[in-house]
Parts: sequence; structure tokens; C-alpha cells
Amino acid sequence: MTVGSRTSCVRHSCWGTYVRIGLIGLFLLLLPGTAAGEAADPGTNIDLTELSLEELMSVEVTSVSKKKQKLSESAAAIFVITQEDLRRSGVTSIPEALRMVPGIQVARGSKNQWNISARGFNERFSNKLLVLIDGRTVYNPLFAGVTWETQDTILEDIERIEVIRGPGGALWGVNAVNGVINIITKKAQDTQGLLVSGVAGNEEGIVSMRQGGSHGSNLHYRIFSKYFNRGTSYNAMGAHDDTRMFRSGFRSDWTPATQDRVMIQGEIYTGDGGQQSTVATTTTFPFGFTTGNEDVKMSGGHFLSRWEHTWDSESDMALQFFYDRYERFEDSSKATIDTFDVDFQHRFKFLSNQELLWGLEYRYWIDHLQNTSSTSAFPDSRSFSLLSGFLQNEFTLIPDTLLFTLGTKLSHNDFTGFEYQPSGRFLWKPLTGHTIWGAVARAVRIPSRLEDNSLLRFAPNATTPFPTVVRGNQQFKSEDLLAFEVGYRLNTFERFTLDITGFYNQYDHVRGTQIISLLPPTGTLANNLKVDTIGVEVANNLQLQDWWVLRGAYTYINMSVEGPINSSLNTTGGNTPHHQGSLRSLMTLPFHLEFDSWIRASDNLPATNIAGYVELDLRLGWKPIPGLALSLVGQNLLDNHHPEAVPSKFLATQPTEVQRSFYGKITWSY
Amino acid sequence: MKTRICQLHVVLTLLIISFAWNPGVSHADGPGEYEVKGAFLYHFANFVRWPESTFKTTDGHLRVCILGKDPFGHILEETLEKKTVKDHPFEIHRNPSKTELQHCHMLYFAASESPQMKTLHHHIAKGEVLTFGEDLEFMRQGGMVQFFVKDQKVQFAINPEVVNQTQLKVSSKLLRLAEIVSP
Repeated sequence: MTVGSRTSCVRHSCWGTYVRIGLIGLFLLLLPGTAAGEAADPGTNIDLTELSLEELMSVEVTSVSKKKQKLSESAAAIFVITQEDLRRSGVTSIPEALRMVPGIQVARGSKNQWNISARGFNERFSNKLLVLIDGRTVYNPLFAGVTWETQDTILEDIERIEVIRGPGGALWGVNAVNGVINIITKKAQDTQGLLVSGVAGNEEGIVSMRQGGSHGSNLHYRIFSKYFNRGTSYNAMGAHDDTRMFRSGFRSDWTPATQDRVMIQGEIYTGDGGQQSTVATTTTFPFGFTTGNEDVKMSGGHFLSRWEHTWDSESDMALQFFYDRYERFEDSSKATIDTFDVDFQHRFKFLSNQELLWGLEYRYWIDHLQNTSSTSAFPDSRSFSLLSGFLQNEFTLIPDTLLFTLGTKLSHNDFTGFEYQPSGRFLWKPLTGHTIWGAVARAVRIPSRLEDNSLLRFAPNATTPFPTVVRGNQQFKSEDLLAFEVGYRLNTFERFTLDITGFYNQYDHVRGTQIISLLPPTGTLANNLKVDTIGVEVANNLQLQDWWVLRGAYTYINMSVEGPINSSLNTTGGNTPHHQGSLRSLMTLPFHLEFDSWIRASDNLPATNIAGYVELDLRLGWKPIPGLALSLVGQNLLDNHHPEAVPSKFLATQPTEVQRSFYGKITWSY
Repeated sequence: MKTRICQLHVVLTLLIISFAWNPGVSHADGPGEYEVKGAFLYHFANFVRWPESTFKTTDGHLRVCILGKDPFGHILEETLEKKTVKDHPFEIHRNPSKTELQHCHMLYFAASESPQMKTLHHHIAKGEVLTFGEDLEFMRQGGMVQFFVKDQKVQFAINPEVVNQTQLKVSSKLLRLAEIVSP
């Protein structure tokens, strides 16, 4: 491209657009009289008794507290896993719970490896998903993803898990390309008293204990500990994936004044997980390799504090700081990372129909890596900083009927400099109970530490029959996405709700590999793939009887990947099933009994030998006396064992299969 | 590059326009907390079944009683008075005497009266009274339903163990939506 054509763009196309948009804006400014006339305040005359209980529970009342968006009013694809969903699904970990969410791919690689992604690109080191736990980003800058095996807490203390598919870039962060998972634990005042819970089964044992207390009426706290031991699962070649982890932590919520809330929390964890790995033993071609069992050491912790101040129902701010420590030692790599993060957000209303939300975030992390013959990164210790700002403006055209949101996030990182991520959304409620929304957004995924500068040595495997070297690339750019989404939500009938989302995603500069030398066979990471994905996600609820509810989810996704041959074309989209389905039945029976079942189905993984599967979980729960809950659970009942994942292309570890399992659980609280 | 710059310009322009846009209509303020709570009382009347015998002493009315300083004002009358539940019209009774308590179908404890729940318990025990309160204290003293405001929304907690000691039948729909508490 020449400089001339760039100037002409600015002179002609863009200014032309400016002028056109300006005229539209001017026209809109002349409209207010008519708009005001039409919109006779619908809020005051409504008969609240005509709303359903669910609707009534989501009515926002006028009071001084932080403004939160109603679920039915968000112009995004949102699914919420409630505490009730967690309890009745019988899951014993956060990753398992995500299997009920449409648009999320979950494949278990072993007892300590989870491949979790939103809207495709499923892989052990999936990298386009942002996960927050109580506002703390659990982001591993080494591979720009999440180490799911260390994300855990007492499941009874989780209030809800909000899953937002699609780019949350404008609001959330640099990694929220395909989705955001927001894990929210209960406030300390909601976890008062003692809770002891034990799980014992053929695949795992878990002990959890929590004690909540208070000091005066506005300071509450809880302390907790949890230990789990998961046994070895199955692999035809012999498995070694037993995993143990201990964690202990606290959370305290303090309300010094009605307008101020202070939350502090902290946690430490330590554990080990088995894996069968193949590592290089020499650094000269053709390298020596050994395969063996090892126990990965995982430990870390965090401290977080947040102060929220509310001026009135339309303006508030939050200031948050956290520190996070991550340690992981295995034969192929050894890493510690310290992350410091300060985040500030401020929301206020101006004019009469505009709401502005802006925020600043500064993150600093420093890592220490110990290079091995398999994995080296240069230099072995590095620090990075990331400064982000975002601005979102929400404006209402017709109150309660038509809403527009415009936002952009501007960030600066040490790899690629400035990145901007704009988004525009609308929400239209043509009739009560019907919501139509749409969004166009751009999002980027900034390079990871290993993509930038590293050297990985691989043993011969199924796809490459000789040893290979893959190098990082200091010219590696951000992967970027332009996403188009539309959605429809039906919430009129008390007994049936429906949520459908369709999307079309265009990715550019997606990571692939490029061969740079044949002896030794060496590839480098390059932004040489273009990916188009198209998909549909459906979630619905059907209340058959007062005591019986069905919850369904269905996902369709198709990824088409374009790029040079030998550029990991297959592995990019090949681990994402085209179809996934989930159907849960929740029955509340007499005598304090609950009977719940869950059928899950997944299509085969297109570019692998992993077949599709259908599995069934059953749960029988009983609360004989107040405070005591018993349950019996059977998981993955339809097969002795079934595989869900293939080895990652970046760490040669042998996946194991998911086995049929049973456990009994007892929970005592008072 | 060309499209990038254009995209950026378009976004900036749209942002500027959105700030300037001002049709002069304000957000409709949400309803008040007690308007919503009043509507909840109506729903509870629908989702809870009282033994038919309890309507004899009230002339077939479904009696809603308020204990302590009434936080509803006129709202209860406006919300409930023209409504019926299974042919039982509502009747609102403020500060009933201790002997009258057992003839209330629903008894609302204003926040100040929560500590009284325990002492009044045996007056209520003779009847089939669904008790409502506003704080945890009330639930600890053996209350049945607690309203609380969370994220600006009125939510409710139910103590099913206490309710199950009575003849009242609470729909599982309510239990499903409620936060369940144990004493």
C-alpha cells in the first residue's frame, strides 16, 4: 500500500463517512420532540402483579446500590450457572459445570488437564477466553490462556458463574475474544456458620470445610479449606494422571457505610498431578527423547481487595487491586509468575439518557522460567506491563424498548503496542417478553510470552514422523476478530423460556506455523491463518410441572480455516465438535428427595480419531433433616471409558479417558 | 491499514454522536421496593395453599396482616384490594391483637418487629399463618419468608423446615426461586 492511497482513504472514504454519520447525527438531534412525545413513561403504570415471579425478581427497584444490568436486558449471549445448577448437576469441579453451557467446548484431557474454549479453537492451551474469579483475571501470560486444573473453590460457596460468549473486548480485557467466564463467589454474609462436606467415590475423594462469622453487623468473613484426591483414569497404554490439591483461603466483606463496600480475599493452593510426558534430553538434532511418568507440582495463591463506592443509583466506582502467584514445575518446563493488577471503574449518568462507563487497568507481571531441553524461552526472566483504558456509552432511544451501547477499549502492551477494540450493540424489545439484540465488535488476542520468543523441541508423533523444532516469533502480531452476532430471547410464558444466538466470526492473523528450515526440521509461529466460524447456540427451560423442570442446550459450530499447507490447518479447527447437546431434568420429589439426570452428547472431533459420545449422569439427593444433605451420583454411566481429547501440539503429554464413576456426598451445615 | 483507520474513525464518530444525542426523555425510574414487595405478596397468595377451614373465621377473605410501622403505606390497598385468589378477596389488617394473629393468612413483620417473632410464635402456632419478615434476625427466630434486596432487585428466602411444620402447602415453584435457609 502506498502513502498516497492511505491519504486518499482519509481524505475521501473516511471523511465521507464522517459527513454522512454527522448528517445522521444532526437528524437525530432534531428528533427529540417526537421521541419524547411517543415515549409515555411505561414504567409507572404497569401492574406489577401481572408480572411472573421470575420477572418480578428481576425488576430493579429504585435504591442506592450499584447498578447491575438485568440478564434479559443485555445485548450479548449470556448464560448463568446458578448455585442450584451446580448442586443439582452433581459436578465436583468448575470445568465440568461448563458442559451445560451452550457455545462452550469442554474436553477432559486427564484428571488435571482440561481443554476449554468458547466458540471453537478447542485445545489444551486454548487462548481466546477470559476467565475472572471475583474480578481477578486468571490469565496465564505464557500461553495466553487458563490453567483450569488449579481453578477451584468450595462449590457450595459459588454464587453463580456467568458465561458471556462472544467478544467482551470493549469492557473486559485483551483476551476476551470468544468469551468471558465470570465466577462469582458468595458474599461472606451469605456463608455464615459451618459447612462440612465430603465426597467419596471410585474416582475421587473431596473434603471441604468452611466457617463463616461476623464482627458487629457490617463485617462478615469466612475461612475455608478444601482437599481433593482424584485417582488414575484409563488409557490403553497405561495412565498416570492421579491428582491431589489442597487449598485454603478467606473472604471478608465489610460495609463501613451504606454507600461503601470493601471486600478482601486471599487463597493459597498446592498440589501435584500426574502425567505421562515425552521430553527432549539433548539440544542437538535429532535430540534424544524419553517418555515417562512424572508428577507436576502446582502451587500458588492470590490476594485481592476491592472498594466499591456508590453515590446514587446512577453513579458508582470500584477500585480493585490484586496480586497473584503461579508456580508450576514439570520435566519439560519450570515457571513462576507474579502478577500485580490495579483496576478502576467509574460509571455515571449524564444528560438524561446517557450512561458512561470508563475504566483504567494497569497490569504488571514478571516471570522466571527455567529452560529445559524441551522448552526454552528467552530471556529466562521477563517482565511485562499492560495498560488499558475503556470507554462505554449506553444510550437509550426509546426507554425500555430500544437501547444502544457503544464502547471501545484502547490498550497498550509490550508486544504489539496499541490495540483498540470497539463494539456496538443494540437491544430491542418489540413486545413484553421478547428481546432481539445484535452486536458488531472487534477483539484482539495479544501474543503470549512463548509465542514471542521461545524454542520447543518435539518428539516424532502421529502428524510429523521426525523430531521438530518450533520457534517463537518476535514479529508475532495480535490475532484479531471481527464478530457479528444476533440473538433472540423469549421470556413471556412462565413455563417456557428460549434463548437463541447466531454468530459469524472472521478471524485474521491467527497463529499457524511456517517451515523455515528442513534440517533440523524447524517451524516458526506465524500469523498466517484466516478462520471463519459460523454457529448457532440455543438454551431453553421448560417447566413441565411445578416439581419438574427440563433445561436444554444445543451448540452448532463450523470452523473453516485457510492458510498455507503445513501451517497447523487441521489442529486449529479440528478439535472442535460440530454439534453438542445437553439435556438436564430436575425433579423435586416428596420426602425431601431430588432426582436429577443429565444427558450430554458431543459430535466427533473432525480432524482426530476421537469419536462422538453420549453420556448420562444421574443424581439422587435427600435432605433428611435441616442442615444435612446427602446425595448419590453416577457420572458418565453409558461407557466404561471414553476419550475426549487428543494430545496438545505444544506439550507432548498423553491424554487419558473419562471413566464411569460413582460417588456419595454428605454436606452438613448450620 | 486503510480499513483499520476508517474503522477507528467511524467508531470515534459514532461515540461523539452518541454523546450529543439527547432526546429529552429520562429513564423511567424503577418501581419502589414496597410496590414490588406488595406484588410478591399477591404471588405468594397464589402459590401457597391454606386449608379451606382457615377462611371461615375471615368471611372467606384472605387476610394480610401488618405488624409494626407499616412500610407499605397505601401500596397494599392499591395492589391487593381489587384482587382475589381462588375466590378469596384480600383483606388488609394492621397491627392485629395477639389473639387475632392466628386468623391472619399472611403476617408481615416490619423490620422493627423481627425480634418479636419468637415471642409471638405460640400465638401464631394455632393458626396457619405464613410469616414474612425483612432480615436474617427474623429468619433465625423462626420466620418463614424473608424479603431482601440484592443488586437492586427484591429476592426472597424461604425456610421450608418451618413451613413444613404447618398445614400450608408451598408450591415448588416458589421453593425453586427462593433462596433456601435453615434455622
